[in-house]
Amino acid sequence: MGHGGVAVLFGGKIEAYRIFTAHGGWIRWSGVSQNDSLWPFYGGIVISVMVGFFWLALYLWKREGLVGYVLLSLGLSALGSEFLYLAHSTHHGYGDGILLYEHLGQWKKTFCYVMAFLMGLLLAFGGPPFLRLSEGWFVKIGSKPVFVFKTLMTFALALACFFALRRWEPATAGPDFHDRMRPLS
Amino acid sequence: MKGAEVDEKALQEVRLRVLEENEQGPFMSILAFFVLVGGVVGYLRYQTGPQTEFSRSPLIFGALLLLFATYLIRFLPGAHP
Repeated sequence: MGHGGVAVLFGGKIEAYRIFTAHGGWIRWSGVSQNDSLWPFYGGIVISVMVGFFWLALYLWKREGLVGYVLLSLGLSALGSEFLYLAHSTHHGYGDGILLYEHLGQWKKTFCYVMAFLMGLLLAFGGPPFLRLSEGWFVKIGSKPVFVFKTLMTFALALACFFALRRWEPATAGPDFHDRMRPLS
Repeated sequence: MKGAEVDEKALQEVRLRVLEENEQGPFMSILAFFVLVGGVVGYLRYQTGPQTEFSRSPLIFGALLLLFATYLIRFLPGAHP
């Protein structure tokens, strides 16, 4: 949506798109001038990061209760996943990081480390308020270490479900799934 | 005296593997490192409470930054670790 929206803003037209259950998605656009071609390419992730900061800004305004919990969760998950995605895709050379992979050269690792550092900051400064807000209604708190353990287990379970879904999707989506995932190759 | 024969193909495989490990290793270990350090600091801040000296100290941010700077200097282009 971010890529497509920015492409339209720069006078482009959406040619085709596809969104998968657990394998991201792709979009193809045309009509954006050569000079502006980087805007739609990076626009997607820039918008995602801005949305993450927007949620965090709203959280700073409303820090308490369920609303605060939801705002902080949205902000942390948006920023955390985008930082991880940028680091991973830049390191391996795919998706939104492919141009950085090709052009950063020897600065590529430094860029990945900055993303890793930002993830560390999110955990160090976003983790404690997240845990405090989820006390009491998320799971029974018990002692703080037990509560942290239970929360981590919840995340591990969610992650396991996601990876199970990733395995399930190609197995059930038909034999041409991989072709549909990589329309340009 | 005849020198030991070198299996060029095997040597090339080893070279490629080392290159690949160098490529993969630092990134994953740094990612894990910062997630771990961030997680531990986050846990300590949670454990001590929001209004405590530890939790509010700008030293935490400074220490994380220093740690990061150390890593950056170690791996900056041109540095020879």
